[in-house]
Amino acid sequence: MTSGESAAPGACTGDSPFIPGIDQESIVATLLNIGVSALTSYQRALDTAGHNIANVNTAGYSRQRVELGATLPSLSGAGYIGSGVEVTNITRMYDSFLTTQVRNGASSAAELGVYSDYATRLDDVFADPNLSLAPALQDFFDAVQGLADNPSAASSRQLLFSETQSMLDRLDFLYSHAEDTRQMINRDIESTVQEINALSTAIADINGDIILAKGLSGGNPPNDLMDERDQLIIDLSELVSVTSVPQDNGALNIFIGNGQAMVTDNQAATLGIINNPADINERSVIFTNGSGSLDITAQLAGGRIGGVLEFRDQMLNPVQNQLGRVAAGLAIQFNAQHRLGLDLNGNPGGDYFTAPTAQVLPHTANSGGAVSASFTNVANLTADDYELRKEAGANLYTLTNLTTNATTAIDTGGASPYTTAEIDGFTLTITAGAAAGDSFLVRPTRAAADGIGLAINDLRTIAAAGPLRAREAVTADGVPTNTGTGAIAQPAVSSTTNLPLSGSGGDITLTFNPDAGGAGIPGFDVTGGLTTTLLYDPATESGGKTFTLATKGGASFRMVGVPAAGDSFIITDNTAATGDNRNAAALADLQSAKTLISGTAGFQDAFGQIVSDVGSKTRQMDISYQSHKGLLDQAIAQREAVSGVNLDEEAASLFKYQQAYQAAAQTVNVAKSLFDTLLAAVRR
Amino acid sequence: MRISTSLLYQRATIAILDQQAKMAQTELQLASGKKVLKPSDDPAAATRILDLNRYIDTIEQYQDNAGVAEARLELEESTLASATELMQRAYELAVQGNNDSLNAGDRQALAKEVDQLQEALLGLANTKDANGEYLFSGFQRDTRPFNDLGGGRFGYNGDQGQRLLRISADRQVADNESGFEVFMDVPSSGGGAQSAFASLYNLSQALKNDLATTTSIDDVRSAMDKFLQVRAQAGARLNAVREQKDANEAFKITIQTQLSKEEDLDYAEAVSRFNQETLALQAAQQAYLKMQGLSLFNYM
Repeated sequence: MTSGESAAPGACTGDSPFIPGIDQESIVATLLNIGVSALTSYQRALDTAGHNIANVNTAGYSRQRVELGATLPSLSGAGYIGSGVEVTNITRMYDSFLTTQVRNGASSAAELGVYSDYATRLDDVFADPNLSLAPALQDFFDAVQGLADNPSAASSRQLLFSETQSMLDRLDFLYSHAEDTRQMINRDIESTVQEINALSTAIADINGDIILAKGLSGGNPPNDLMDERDQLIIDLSELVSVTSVPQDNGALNIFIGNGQAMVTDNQAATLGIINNPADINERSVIFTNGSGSLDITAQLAGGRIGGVLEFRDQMLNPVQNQLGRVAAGLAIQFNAQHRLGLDLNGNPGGDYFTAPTAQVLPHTANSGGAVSASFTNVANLTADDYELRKEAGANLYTLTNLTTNATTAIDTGGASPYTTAEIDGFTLTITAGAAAGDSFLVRPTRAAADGIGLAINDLRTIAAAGPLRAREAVTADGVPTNTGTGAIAQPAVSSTTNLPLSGSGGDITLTFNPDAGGAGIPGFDVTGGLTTTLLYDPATESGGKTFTLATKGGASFRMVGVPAAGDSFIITDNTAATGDNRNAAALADLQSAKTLISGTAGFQDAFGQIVSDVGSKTRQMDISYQSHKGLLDQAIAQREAVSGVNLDEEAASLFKYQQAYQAAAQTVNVAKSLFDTLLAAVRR
Repeated sequence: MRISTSLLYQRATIAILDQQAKMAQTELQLASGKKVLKPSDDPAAATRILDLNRYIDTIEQYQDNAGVAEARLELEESTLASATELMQRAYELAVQGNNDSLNAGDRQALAKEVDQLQEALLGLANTKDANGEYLFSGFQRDTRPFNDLGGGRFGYNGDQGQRLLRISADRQVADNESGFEVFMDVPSSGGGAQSAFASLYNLSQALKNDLATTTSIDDVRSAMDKFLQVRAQAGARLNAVREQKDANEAFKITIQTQLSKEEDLDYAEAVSRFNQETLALQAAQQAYLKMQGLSLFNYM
């Protein structure tokens, strides 16, 4: 549907031959007129070629072509006689379909391009050995092993502190890098919205000019203005995907989002920026026209703004959440094990890391209430965000996973504060006061990597030892008194219940009694802090049997061998045990434990997954961008094939029209000499 | 198809820029010697590289741990070797002292040497390692394990703890024996247990009192056997640690080979690729220049 092509027939009648007429008087005047009409027409044609040449590098310019037509012939005795040439139209070589293709291609390419650029920002740092978490995490666990090698040495404790600090610095760096990226996105959205407003205004202005020009020319299109407007719409499409609807008056109305009219004739609406009411650290886009304001952020797609928003939702947020999950998992698991140990001063271990926080943001329009979240089981943590919404019913809330849309109904039963059961590894504590429709954004892992620090600063308070130790009975001087071959292994604990033993009944003594469980049923009579019986049959179980004392820190130990009646074993608090490395070894074992993502991944695996996700997403985006860039280039080439200026072609046109112009000038010359001949004949 | 002049130039420029971008990537690879520069270059390989590096680092840490265990076990072994020699001498003295041809004065002289041996054994039992920690006090490495309480009583102040070090993903090894195990839990000829120091003390007392040393011979022998047994245990562990070190080293080399396959650049391939890209860039530049000379306007 190339309008230029369809208008082509009937052109080029400028070199119509000179026909000698019968009527001498009119012949001279007609020939002169014909010559002059040709001169004027070719002047226009040369002007147009010149205009094309001048705009060879103008973006969006469509080459123009002069359409020539024979003027109306006049009737003579011999029939109709030609009267010259005229410019019937100046056609813009243009195809609206191809232009729409370029516009859509530009929108997709810009969207993917900006996504790919932002993705590269993450790609650059997440696997860089000098910036990434992976090597620092390894060094940290190596230092924990070093502590297990030399539990009382100040040097190994100092090294652990400094490796911990480097690891925390990396975590902090990665978190800040993600947050900086988020701030960049905010600024990007702000400047893009400004540009959208400026372009929309410019398009509305040109719409006005076109309406006016079309009216003045009686319907002829102002070609150069139309090109300029098309180019502005392409520029706008690079910022946000738009649709356009042509109007009879020549205007193009522009719509964005879900059909919000951005440009209507010569009027432009404006987009504004507000803080996202659900999270004031992010910017939202609002559409404002005569009838009010509307948040259209979720509806914006394509172009730079679409790419930025998509990157934020699909890549930045999940990556930051995954990073937070690693950080929270590490801090919480390490703290839990550290608390089971005993430090160099003989005190129970405290938290090693400061506790990570689970983020909950109240909506700015909430009328009241408060919600907080706590981690309960890091293995079940997801990398998703959630929304807690107050329902209409009293005490009723709904928690929605914003990724899977799975919902959990919560009924506080009127209790305030009310703490929920575990949901995906965390609990919510809800304080009443929210009105129906109030909402809270719950992001358990988003900011967990932020601000984790060392909770202790004294080398001696690193808890490398276990809290309990076991021995067989000895005299006051330390000489063994047991006569059997029974032996007890050192106990491990799983909680701090009733520890230290000195605070809850003292040492636990296990005395072997062949009739402990009744006549002929051998076992240990347990006395001291705990009175019970542990069955142990040396005849069948001398290879080893593990016992657990749930009420004493969950102490678990293994008995082997054949004890004699009356042989006893004692479990005591582990005092002065500066060389004990059992808790350090347990801390080191956390490195290989699969404690995250439903028990499928260790800390390093989980971080490796982030690296792999970032890498594949970046690669995928780059490939998509390249292919869409290719499509755009093709669309541009197709449009250029119709609309682009080719200098050789214009040179040929110049030759052609120049020759015709010269010939027309000769026509005038001949007319002049005919006239002169006539005048000479009349003169006496 | 019509080609517009500006598109022609734009395409030629893009061709040059594309070639330059490819060359820049190859240049970076050549400069770093790495195939994968960013995760997006090869996401699967990037994760494997991360994992392999982690394995290598972990193995290196196991090697460090094994080194620590090896040093301590060597110290323990050499200490026990001295203790065994010492007991050997005591045994000789006990046998000698049991000889009827000796008089009380001779036995006094023997007793003096036994006293010195007992002192020396106490010294060995209170040996400190390179970190200044007692070797034989169980978990309580800063507590002096053995004291002579006088009158043939020798107190043990340590505990029965044994420290384990990880020398591979599934292997832990004890880096010590407690003093209780080595010096206190020695079977006595009279039944029950008796400390190695007490057997020397009793020997000395028997010699000083000009009594038969028959019991002491058995007790000293028993202590010597105990030292030999513990030494054999420690020696076996030492061997295990050394074997594990070799195994770790071999495993590390395997992994390093894998890592090299994943991340190291094939220089021959990269250099030839670089040359190819250089050629392509030159071609694109020449095409650009040639194209610039071609215009109808040149003939006007």
